[in-house]
Order: sequence, then C-alpha cells, then structure tokens
Amino acid sequence: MTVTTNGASSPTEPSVTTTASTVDQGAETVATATPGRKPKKARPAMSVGRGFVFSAVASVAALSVWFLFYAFILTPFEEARSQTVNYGTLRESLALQTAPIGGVITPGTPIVLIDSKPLGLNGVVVVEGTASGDLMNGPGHLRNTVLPGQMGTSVIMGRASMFGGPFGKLSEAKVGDSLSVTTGQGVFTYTVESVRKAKSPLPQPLDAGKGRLTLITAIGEGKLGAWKPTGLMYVDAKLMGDAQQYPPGKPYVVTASELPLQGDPSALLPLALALPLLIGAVLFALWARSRWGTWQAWLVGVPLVLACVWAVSQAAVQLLPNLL
Amino acid sequence: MSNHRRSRVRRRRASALFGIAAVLFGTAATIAGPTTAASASQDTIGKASKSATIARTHLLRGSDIEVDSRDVTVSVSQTLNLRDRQAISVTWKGAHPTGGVVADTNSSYAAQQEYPVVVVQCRGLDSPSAPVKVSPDTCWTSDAEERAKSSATFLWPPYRIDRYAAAADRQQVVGVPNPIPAACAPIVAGAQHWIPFRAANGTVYGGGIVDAATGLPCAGSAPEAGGGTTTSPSNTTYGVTYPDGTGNVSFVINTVDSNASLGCTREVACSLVVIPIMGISCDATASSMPVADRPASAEDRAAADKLCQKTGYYAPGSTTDNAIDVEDLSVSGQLWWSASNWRNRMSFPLSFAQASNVCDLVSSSAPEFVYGSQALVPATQQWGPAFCLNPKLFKFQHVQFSEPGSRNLLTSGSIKAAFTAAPPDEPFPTPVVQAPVAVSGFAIGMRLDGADGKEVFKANMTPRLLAKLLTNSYNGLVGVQTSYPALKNNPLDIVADPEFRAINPGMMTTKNAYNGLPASTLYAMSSDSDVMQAVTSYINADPDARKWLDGEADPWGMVVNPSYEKIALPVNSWPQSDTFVLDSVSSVSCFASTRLPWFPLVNAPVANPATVTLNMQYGLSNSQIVCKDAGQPNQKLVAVGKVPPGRRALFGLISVADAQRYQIPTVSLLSHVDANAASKFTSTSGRYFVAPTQAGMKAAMDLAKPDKTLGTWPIPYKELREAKGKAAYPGTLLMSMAVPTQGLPATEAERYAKMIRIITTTGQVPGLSNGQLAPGFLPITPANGLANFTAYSAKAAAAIEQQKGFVPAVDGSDPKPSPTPTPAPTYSPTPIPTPTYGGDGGSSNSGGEQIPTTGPTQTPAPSQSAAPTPTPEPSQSTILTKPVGSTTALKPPAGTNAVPALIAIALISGVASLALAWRRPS
Repeated sequence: MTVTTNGASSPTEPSVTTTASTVDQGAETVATATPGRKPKKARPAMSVGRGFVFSAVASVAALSVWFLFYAFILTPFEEARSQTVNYGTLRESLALQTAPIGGVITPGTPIVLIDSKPLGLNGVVVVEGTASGDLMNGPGHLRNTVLPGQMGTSVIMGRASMFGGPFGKLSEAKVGDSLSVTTGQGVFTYTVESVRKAKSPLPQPLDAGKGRLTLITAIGEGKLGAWKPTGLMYVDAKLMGDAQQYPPGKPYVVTASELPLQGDPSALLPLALALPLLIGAVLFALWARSRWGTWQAWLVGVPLVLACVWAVSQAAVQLLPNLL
Repeated sequence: MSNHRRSRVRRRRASALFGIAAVLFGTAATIAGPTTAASASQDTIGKASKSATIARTHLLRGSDIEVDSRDVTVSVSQTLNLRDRQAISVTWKGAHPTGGVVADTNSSYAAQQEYPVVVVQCRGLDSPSAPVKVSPDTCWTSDAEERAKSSATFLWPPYRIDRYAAAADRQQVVGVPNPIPAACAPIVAGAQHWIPFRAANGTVYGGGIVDAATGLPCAGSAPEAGGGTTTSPSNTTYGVTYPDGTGNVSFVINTVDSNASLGCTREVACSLVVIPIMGISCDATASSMPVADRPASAEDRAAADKLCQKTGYYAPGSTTDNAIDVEDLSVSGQLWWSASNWRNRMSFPLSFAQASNVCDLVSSSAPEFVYGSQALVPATQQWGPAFCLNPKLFKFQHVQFSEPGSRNLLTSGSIKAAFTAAPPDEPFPTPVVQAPVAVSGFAIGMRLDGADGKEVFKANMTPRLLAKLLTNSYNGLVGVQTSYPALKNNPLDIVADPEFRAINPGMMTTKNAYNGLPASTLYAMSSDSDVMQAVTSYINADPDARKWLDGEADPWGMVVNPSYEKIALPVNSWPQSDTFVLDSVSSVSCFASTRLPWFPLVNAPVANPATVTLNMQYGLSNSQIVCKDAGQPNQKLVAVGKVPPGRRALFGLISVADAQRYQIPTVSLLSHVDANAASKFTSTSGRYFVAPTQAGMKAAMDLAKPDKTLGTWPIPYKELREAKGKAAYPGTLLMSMAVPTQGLPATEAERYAKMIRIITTTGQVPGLSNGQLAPGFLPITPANGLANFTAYSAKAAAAIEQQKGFVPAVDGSDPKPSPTPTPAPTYSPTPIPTPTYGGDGGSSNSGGEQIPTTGPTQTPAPSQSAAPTPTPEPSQSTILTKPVGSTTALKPPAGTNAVPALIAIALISGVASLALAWRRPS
C-alpha cells in the first residue's frame, strides 16, 4: 500500500489511491484469512482492473461471512433481548388481566408463555403473528387460529436455527411429552399426541369443545439440516381438560408472508433504506480517512459502518423463510 | 391369519347390513318426505293470548280497600319468526278506558294519558329461571321522561307510597347514580325516581332529568334513544282503551339491527310486555317502612293519600286538552314502571327469525346472484336462509335492482338470473325462460285519518285518482292555487277531491287542520320499475282515467296538469315533467337564489322502493320543502318528516308483502264499473273495489292468459276492468325468475334449476319459517288454480339445466314432445341445521393449503345426520378408526437454500480474493 500518511497522496496517481483504499476497506475483515504478510514492506500497486475485481470479490466474501456471522451468532442475542422485554410485558399484562385473549391482536404483542423441558422450551414468550419479522422475537402464533387453551386448533410456529432457534429441539419431541402454556385465560397443560413430517398421518379430527396445539418449525436432512430446510415438522399436542371459549373476531385469513417457510417481501423497503445508509457510511469513512487520518477514521467509521451493516442484515434476514 | 379373515368377513357382512339399512332408511325417508312436507305446517306465527284479573287495592288503616278490578285479556298476533321493524298487532279487552287521549301513541307525550295500556319491548324473559329477567331496567323507552320522575317540593308523590314497591324503591331518592354525574344538577330537595336502562352489552345508562341545553338526560342515554329525529321512531306504545274496554295497537318490533342497545336476537331472549295501567295502589301510612320513608305529619299523609288515590282528571274516551300537568300522575302511563303497575304486566316471549345477514355469517362461499325486484324481498329473505343453511345446497343472494335494468343486464350476459315483476317490453333476443316463482302485487299504502281523528284502515281509490296524484294535478298549497292558473279550479288535495269523498265517507275536512301537501302526491320510486309499469298499465286501461289524462275534465270539473296531458302510458318510471316555480316561497332563503321546480320537490321520488315503505310505516312525508338551517351556509331542503297522527293523509306505492309485514293499511282499487253506474257518482254503488287479498290476487291470476311471444302470463288489465274481473285485484303482479337456457356453465345452470324447483315446490308453503312463502304472496299451487304455472316452472328448470337454448312454450304448444318428460321434482325438504356461530371448530383451512395441521374440516357433525339422507352418516366412533389423510409435503421455497448458497458464495469469493491478492508479489 503506497499511501501510508495522511493527505500525502501524490496528485499524479489519484486512481491508484482510490483503488488502494477500497482494497484496504475490504481487507479489514479478511485480514485474519491472510496472515503472515509483512505489511511494513512496500508493495507495488495492483493494476487498476485487477484491483477493482479483487475489491469487489473481497467485499462479497466479507459481506457473506458477516451475514452468516450475524444470522447464527448475533441474532440469538437479539432474540434473547426481545424475550426478556416481552417476558416483562406479558407478566405485566397477565397481572393486570389485560393479556389479549382473542379478536384482532396487534402482531408482535406477547401473548403466551410456553414451558416444556423435553421440547427445550423454558419460559419462551410467544408473540402474535408469524411473519419473518415477528418470529425474530421468538415463536409466533398464527393469527387466524385460536389462542392456546381455546376450543379448536391453535398453531404456533418458531424458527429452527436463527434467532436462537427456539424450536430447534422440536425434532426431539416424543409422544407423551407435556407442555405448559400460560395465557390470559389461565395455565393449560398439553400432551404431545403426534410428531409429524411430510406424509405422516394427520391427527384425528377434534371433538367439539376440545383444544389442540400444533407447533411448526422447519427441518432438513442430516446434521446441518437446520441450515437448509427441506420441509416442515409438526408437533400436535392435545389439551388436557376442557378448552375455553374464544371471543369472536379473529382474522379469517392471514397474509402469505405469515405462512410457513415464507419470507416477508415487505422487508424490501427497510432494506432499500438501509443500503444507501451503509454506502454513505463507507464513503464517509473513506472521506474521513483522507481528511482526518487512518486511526481517526477507524474510530469513527467502525461503529457507524457496523450499525448500518447490522440494519441491512436485519432487513435482509426477513426476506429469508420465516422458520429458518 | 384365519382370525384376520374372519374379522374381514364379519366386517363385510356388517357393511352389507349397513348398506341395506341405508337403502331402507332412504326409501322410508323418500316416502315420508312429502308427508312431512305436508304436515310441516306447524305453527310459525305463534299467536298468543293471556288473561289476568288485575286490581287497584289501597292499603288504608291496615285493611285492603279494592277500588277497581278488571279482567283483562291481551292477544298478540305473532310472537315467532319476527323480523326487524315488523309490526305486530296487540289487542286487548277488559281494560280501564283511557282518558286524555293523544293522537300519537308512540310519543312520550302519550305517557300522560290516563289509564293507557303500555306496550314495551324488554330484554329478558318473565320466568324465574331465565338468565335475564324482564324488569323496567331492560325495557326500551326512547325518551328520558318515560323513565325518570321527580317531585321538586312535595316529598310524597304517588310512586313513593306505592304499597307494592320494595322499601328500597320508596326512598326519597331512587336510581340516581352515586356520585351524581357532573352533568346533573345536584339534588338538594324533593323526591327523585330514575329507572336506568341496562343495555345488551352491559352498559348502564343512568337516564335522569333532561338537560335543557343538550336535550339529553344528564346521566346518559342509549345511542338509539332520542327525540325520534336522528333515530327511528320509538316503539314504546301507550295504547288507547276505548270506552268499551277494548283497544288495539300496531307494535313495531326492533331487533338488534335497529336497536343494538336493546339487543334482541335469536340468541338474546326478549319479551313483549303489556301493562294495563290501573293506577297506584296507595299506602300513605307506610307503617312497614323505615321512619324516614313514612309521611310524618298527618297533613303530609292526607295530601299524599289524596294525590295517590286520584282516579283521573279526564273522562274516559276524552281527548287531551293539551294543558300541562293536569293529568293524575297516579293513573297515567308515566308510572308504568312502578310496582303497582309492573305487577299487572303480561309478558309474551318473542322469538326472532334468522337474521338477515345469516348467510354471510354461515359461509363465505361465492353466492349465486339473482338481480331484480324489490317486491320479492320478503320472500327471498325467507327462502335465502333455507338455501345457505343447508349444506347440500348453496347460497343465493337477491340483489335488489330495477327489474327493467335486470332484464337488460340479463340480455347482455352481465348477470345470470333476474327476478322480474312484469313481462318484458319485447321478447328476449336470447333464449331466456321466465319461471313463475311468486304471485304478489303492488299496493297503495296509506296513512289516513278520518274526520274523528282515528286512523282509517279501509279506503277506495279509482285509477283516475291515482292519475291525479301522479300528475300533480292537486295544488297542495293555496299558494300554488293562486299562482298556477291551469290548476286554479282543481281541489287542493285528494282528501278535498269530491271524487275521493264520494267513495270514502267520513274523511277529514279543513276543520281537522290536516296538512294537504302530502295528500297531493303519491310517494313513489324514481328508478325504473315493473311496479310503476303495472300502476300505469292499470291507469291506462281505465277509460275514465285515460279520457281525463287526455284533457277531458272529470265530472266535478277537475282537469289534468297540462305538463302531463296526453302522456303515453304505461311507463317504467314516472317522469317529473312539471316545471312550475312557486314564487311565493322565494322569501325562504333555500328558494331565494335558485328557481327550483316545485312539484318534483313535493313528489320527492326515492331511488329505493324500500324507502317508500319505511316512510309509509312511520307516516313520514318525504316532500323536500322544509328549509333547514335557513340563512346559514349549510342550509338545505329536507323532508317534511312525521305527519302528526290524527291529521294524516299520505299515500305511497309499496308492495303487498311489505304492507303485510309492516302492517301498513292499503287502498282497495277499482276493478269494475257497472254500465249503468253514474259518472258523477256520490257513493260506491255500481263500482267494485278490491283489496289486495289472496282471493283478489287469485281472481286476477285466473284471468291471466299465456302470451307465447313474451314467454309469460301478462296481467290482462283490459279484462280486469270488465265484469269478469270484478273480484280481481288489479295490482296483482306475477313474479318470475328469468334465466338464460343457453351459455350458462353447467354447475350454475344446475343450481338455478334446483333453485326454481325448490322455490316453486316447498317454497310455496305459506309460513314464516325459513324456506316458506312469506305473507302477502299467493302460493303458486294447484289448489289455487295455478297448476299450469307449477308445471311450466318444472319445464323451465329442466330447460335451464340442459342449456340447449330451448325455451318451453307457455301455452304448452311445444313443437316437439317435451325434450325430457320432466318428473315431479324429487327434492325432499331436509331439516335445516342450526348454524353454529362464533366458531369454526379451530380448523385452519382458511390459512391456505400449506397448513395441513388438522384433519379434513368437513367432517360430518353428528347433529346434521338427522337429515333423511339416503346414506346414513357413519357414527363418530367409526370415524375415529379411520385415517383422515396424511400431512402434505411442502415444496420448500427457494429461500430455504439461502444459507448454503451464502456459505458457497463466501467460500468462493474468499478463495478468489485470496488468489487475486496472493499472486501479486510474484
């Protein structure tokens, strides 16, 4: 890298300067992948074309690695935080008896608490809605079904791997495992009656006045199946005891993005807003580097770029299937 | 293995037995079908009657003094299958005659009558086991004065010394919320007794004293309550008992549709409560009361006794003198809620028909639409639920639309079926069959009071009188008479017309101070309509009316409005031809700037015929001549509104079925004039008037001859005017369902055919249940001499089903033998399962096919297997052993490959960038 001091770029080779700094940018994150280099030794500049290709490819690599890092390492923290906040909200609304028990509930509202050791669910707060964005906060309740504890079949979906993968252990469920569910109408106990994958026999139709809870998540084949789902798995649990009435007014249909394994195309808008921000942040960092100096640029640029790239990732991950 | 086989054999044998049983059962059901259909004429009306001996017994010095005792019998015309806004008739005998009679028995003013019979609709039942019991709290009244009484100075008004009232109700202040709402004046002295209203949703409206500024009670009232201006008029009725002890009122039923606070539905029980007011049974001594609720001084006691024991200021049968607060409170209708009166109540439990929106609630499946006649709505409202509630049938929806418009849409292929009420103007250009589905008629509804101020229920009208009303040949106002030279010599209105007076004795005179303007027009619809076609055909067929329209003065010298002279009839919609501008109203600011033609404002035709019905039911005049907010920027012309009872003369064009449902009196129409009858007549002699009865409609249909070109049976107005049509009602209409016999998809063709078969068979059984024929329609049955209609409908259904472009000839002259010998319709009525509200049993089928979480949702419910279907439903236990299907495999969307793809991209680009950077130093 020829440019090591601030503002000392030679006016005769501006293009090289620019290219080099872009490369530098890309190298930030791949630095660990190229150890053993002696940075102090002056290196001849890359040709313009080659430098451009290199920086483009390196950026793609860096972004992909970041995204995977975000999706599997960072999102659990996001989910854990939402769970903590939602647990508090739900606790309060249960205490005040304001927990919604039917009708049209705003998506994202915490409504149910599930506990089940064998299914790996320890005080998991379920929110209303099953769109990709809702499932970032924990499992979600399919809006056109009744709530758990009420007459009929209630459906709850959860992610298998990202955002902590709350339903990641669903495949270990066995018939007879018990679930405890707390809603605004009380505490209900369910017993798993069937664990289904594609082509498994459906459970028997419900008798009048009974309740059932169906948990859905994505599964794939093999060890890393959770990363590449090939289908859905269902855990049907029957309500022990009598079901509650439910108030009228639940939605009749839900949007396509709330169905299993669907992405949420509405996240394209936040993505379109976040991407220019990211580009702006990168340009700003470059500008700062040439004006203020390398370390100053790092100090200011890293948090800024990180925040923007986080926002981009959060929007982009909503485009992926909701049960991933 | 052998065990296995044996069990299989056993199973096969069992299933064979099962099959035989099924066949037998099916046969039995088929045989029983017609019988049950015939015997299905169980009570769908629920007439009810109750008697009681009621007394007024004071408690004086420890002993009972009975001052009055009566045996009252109350009868109600209908308590089952009630619909919103429907009128039922309540009659009684043996009650105390009413004094201080007011004309409008629905007004809060009527509560001031002495000894009225109070009729109210209350939520709840009058039985100890009912979840909600009727009480004054759940009874509907519209005005605050009807549920709150106060006495500013004297502490012992009659309701405080009511011997039957509980101690809590005899306190100085009863029913006033504590703390008193801020809007209410604080109570410093005097007695108060408020009755709150408890709405169906649990809200309690305190009521209380009316706040002069807002006109509303200070502790709140239900949104439906009010002065009858923004809301529909109150149905609380203070009926008048005539001196002979009898009386009757027409009571309008409100369901949740028009009164949500009262909230009566099929599920929320309601009662009709009839309280013959006998007066308060007094107990001024109040020895059983706490000291505070006892008149302390002898003077107080004497004054309280005197006030309470009063027996009436007015003589029985007298009308009110309009003086304020002269009536005796203790015997007036205002204290209907006091224990002495309330204990005399007679309650009739009401049961309501399927709500009008039941089909929307039951299923969201796309209905089969039939456009057309509003006059058929009462029938389709009962037929509709029978279709949508039957899982074997489908949903059809009657879209109210003008009949000529519907025929046009049908010809253009925009719609698949139409209900029409008259023959087409010219034959359909495409093969369309018109199956007769109902016989009904138009009616001239009226709200007419006689010279004695009582409502008139029978009146006669000639086609010429109808023409006079329609052509605006009456002046309506003296101002018109003086400024419209052509109408100078014409009467002001129909009541003043000597022709009308000749055939209707006892009509009002100018002494009655009636409003002549509403009586100068016929309220009708503005849209194209077969009904208007029928009315104008009827007018056109009458030689007297036609001559008069052509310019010849009637025998009394009245001439036609020149704007309508020589008008060609019949027409589909009545033209508003008169452009006369009334200059004398230009001082009213609404008319000042614009020169509006006067008569169209008086006629004020409405788009929806149902509006005319509503106006006639409540006696509202729709003439848009009242300037509201005059002089303000938002000034506008509004309707005259309610015409005071006792001085009403309104006529409107409605349907016979609506007239029956809403108990609107109808006019008898001229059918025939004897050859030697006087032309300047003074009585009905030699003239025949027929009311819209079943007999009248049957006589008219007997004269109808098939018209092969038009494909239906036109009403022969010429013959109806002849001697053979003496008994025929000229307003009769034959309603048909027109459906193309070419180009319909097979499933729809089959459905329309089925619909016609059901409507023309079981749909012609008169009654108020779902699927039956509503009152006001003549059943199309062989018993009524209409066998050829039934037969033609069967042929029409077959032609629709086949969709070969064949239209059977109405006169039976089909060129070839009937394409298929149509067997008698084999539809056997199945009991309609009650819909289950509020739950789909948790099936998540609405979420799309991708959520195979539950079994098939169409599992037969055991409650429906009562239907006599040929194949018996398997019992629940057999279902349980059967697999119900398997979880469908979901094709993973492309997004599921995102993570592997990302890893691949990361690896490839990482390696590539390394490679690019690696080769650099060498």
